[in-house]
Amino acid sequence: MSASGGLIVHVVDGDDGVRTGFARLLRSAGLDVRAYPSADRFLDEVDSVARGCVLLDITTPGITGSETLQRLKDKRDLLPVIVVSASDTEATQRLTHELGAKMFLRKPVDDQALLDAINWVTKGPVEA
Amino acid sequence: MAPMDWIHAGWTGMTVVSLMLAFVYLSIWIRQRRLGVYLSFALCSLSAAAIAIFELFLMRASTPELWAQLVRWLHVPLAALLIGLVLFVRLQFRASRRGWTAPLIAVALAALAANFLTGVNLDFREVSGLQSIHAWNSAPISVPVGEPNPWILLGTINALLMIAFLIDTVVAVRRRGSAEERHSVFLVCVSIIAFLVAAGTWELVVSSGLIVAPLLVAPSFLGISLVMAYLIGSEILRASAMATSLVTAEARLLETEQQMDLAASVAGQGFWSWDTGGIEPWLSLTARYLLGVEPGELFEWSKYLERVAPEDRARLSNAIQQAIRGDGHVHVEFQIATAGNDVRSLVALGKILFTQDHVPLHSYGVIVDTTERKMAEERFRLLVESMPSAVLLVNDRGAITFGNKQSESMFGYTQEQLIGMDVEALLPERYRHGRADMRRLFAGDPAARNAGASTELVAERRGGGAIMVEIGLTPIQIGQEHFTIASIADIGDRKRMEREAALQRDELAHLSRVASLSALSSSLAHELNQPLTAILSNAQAGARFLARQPPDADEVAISFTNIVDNAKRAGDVIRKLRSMLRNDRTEFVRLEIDDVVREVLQILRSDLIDRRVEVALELAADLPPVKGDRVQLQQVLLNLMMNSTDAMGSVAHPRVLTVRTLLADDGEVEVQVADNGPGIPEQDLARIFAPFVSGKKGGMGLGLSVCAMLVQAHAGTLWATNNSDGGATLHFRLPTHADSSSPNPD
Repeated sequence: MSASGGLIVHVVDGDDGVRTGFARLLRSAGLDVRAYPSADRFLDEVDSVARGCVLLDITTPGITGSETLQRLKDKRDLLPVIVVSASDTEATQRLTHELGAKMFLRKPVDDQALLDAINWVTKGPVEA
Repeated sequence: MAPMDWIHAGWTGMTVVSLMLAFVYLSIWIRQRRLGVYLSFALCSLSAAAIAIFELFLMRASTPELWAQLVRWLHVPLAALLIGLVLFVRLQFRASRRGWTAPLIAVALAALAANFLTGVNLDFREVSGLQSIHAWNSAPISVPVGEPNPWILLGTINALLMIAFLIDTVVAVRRRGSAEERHSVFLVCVSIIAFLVAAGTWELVVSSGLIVAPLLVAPSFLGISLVMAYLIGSEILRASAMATSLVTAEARLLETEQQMDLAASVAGQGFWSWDTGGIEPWLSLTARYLLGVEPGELFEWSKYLERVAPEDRARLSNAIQQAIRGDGHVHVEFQIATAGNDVRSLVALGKILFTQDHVPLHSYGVIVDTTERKMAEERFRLLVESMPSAVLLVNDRGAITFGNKQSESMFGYTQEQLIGMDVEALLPERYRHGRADMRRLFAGDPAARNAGASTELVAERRGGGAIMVEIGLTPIQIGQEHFTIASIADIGDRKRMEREAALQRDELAHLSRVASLSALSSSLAHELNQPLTAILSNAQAGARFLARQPPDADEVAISFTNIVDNAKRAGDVIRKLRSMLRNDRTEFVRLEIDDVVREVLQILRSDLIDRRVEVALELAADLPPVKGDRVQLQQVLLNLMMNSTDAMGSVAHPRVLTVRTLLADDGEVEVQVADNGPGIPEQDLARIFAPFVSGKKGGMGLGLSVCAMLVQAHAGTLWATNNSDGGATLHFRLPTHADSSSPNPD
């Protein structure tokens, strides 16, 4: 029904304004979007066979728990992670690395850069 | 010599009685010379004695010539008797008009002259013979036979005039005198009148030859003698009664004096009393002691003056002279040198009594030892002079009664100028009438007096310079008078320093804030980037919805709404940052501390997430508001939370920052910022608030010292403790807003 061809973009961001903004932007570009206010909600609700990618704000509350990190890591083969953050401190980058994220984007993110990134991470494994 | 018959005995007896009376009155007169009345009656009695002797010889006269000659000389004592009686009555009763005396004496003297110049005597022009008669078995008595002298009329006139004079006296005395005086005047005058009537009539009758009898005056005088003897006797009785009562009164007086002296000596007071005529004043034992007069030493004023302090001598003499010239009140303070060469301060209080002509008669009074008081005054003066601040003593009418040296230099007036000045004159013009509370304060209103309370206000120097002063007022009572001690400190320098310190504190706080915020720059950038990200995404989404065919107007509208919301959010973040970065002057307002905690957490939010620090918020609801500067309290909380976060930087376990607010036991609001880091070494718990003590590498060590400074400026306290389960807690307490019931005015 959409141009994404069954791909779902999971937006995980604790900030209401940012989450809503990303979700609306992706939807306006014709993508299928699910939005979650926290990592735990995402992990609880996401379908185990879902395909697509995760757009994760690294400063979302609850993300730093080791159990959460492990569960996210378990999902990364099915759902590659794009980390977005308003800050790019050492701590942020370390966490990005720990997660094994495919990409890191600095907020604010231009629409084309975001769409290109999603396109790249979702196609990559298929071609690989 | 004829045998002693009753006539001889009687007349001799009359002579003796008269002489005795004369002697008694004469002796009284000699002792009390001023009482001429006694002399005059002594004269009467002497004359009466002489008359009796003459009469005795008359009755024994052998020839008419001798008889006539004796009568002629008899008139001399008779005239003396009459004049004496006039003087006596006049002096004794001082009642009749002055006009009487001279004519009476003149007529008596005229009669005496007629006695010598006409006939053989005043009674007879001629005595032709003598008859011998016998009276009641007596020896023969010579009685005259002859022609009467018409000049006897002068004697009769004399007697009648005297009777009139006596009646006048009786009437006058009865009108004004006391009962006693009325009684005596009646007796005296009636006895004299009886004498005059009896003697005069007898003389007339005998000289005119109506009866054949001797000329007799003396027996009539007997009545007067009796009355006078009676009066003397009553006077002696009265005098003795008076003497008795005087002795009793004196005894009582002595007793009272002793009691008074005892009481006075206990109170350190001595009595003196001085009869102006007397050489030495009477001094009570205490008075002698106080004046330094040795026992047995004679008190001599001129000699004593040498013991008085030289500067007091003239004053002491002047005070006495003034009292003598004026109303007689003496009040003088002076100092004397005692035997031991100590100086004793005395106050003499007294009264001089005067005669009607204002001649000093008697003086009396007390002497009080004021040495202790003088020394206390001196100590007070030295104490006040040595005080570093200006001290004024102000009475309940607002007049300055004392000012120390410091008040001279502070206000530019001399001590003499200050005394008597209205204290308001030391206030600037614009305060003089507005400061009713100040006036009331000095006017002795107890409600306005608050001992030890300090008031800051502006005072005025002589010539108009304004000075900032702090006044401490202490009400005191000296005797019946209320005073206020005003202790005035020039706080101009202190105020300037306080202002400078406040400016420096604000500056330091500002710098510290800028430093804190720059440390937070990345998380602050995050705070701004979030709404910017939302705005950008919504704008680009809106553009895409608009580009669709047909454009999706509903989605575009939602995008705009979201953009507006997030732009406002970005504005909020910027506004908060600006207020933290501005260097505004401290402004104390009513604040809810929980709000301040939330504001700070918002600023720190992303930083805490970044550092993987969980926040546990335990805010007590319904805390009373505090009085504080919002930005400074935000800064304190920001610093404390950043410190705690830093302290947890190296721990492996989950990092928890606990922020608690609570109402402390003492009614103050307490804020606790706790971490679960390694804690603070015990020896550093107090030291960490000193400047340049830092637990962090690269830290300036100003964060906590700035916090301590700011909390102190809020009249609060800041301290640190270690938690029992690890980590440290920083606490600070703030006093609640005085008016915690009214809503925040901002």
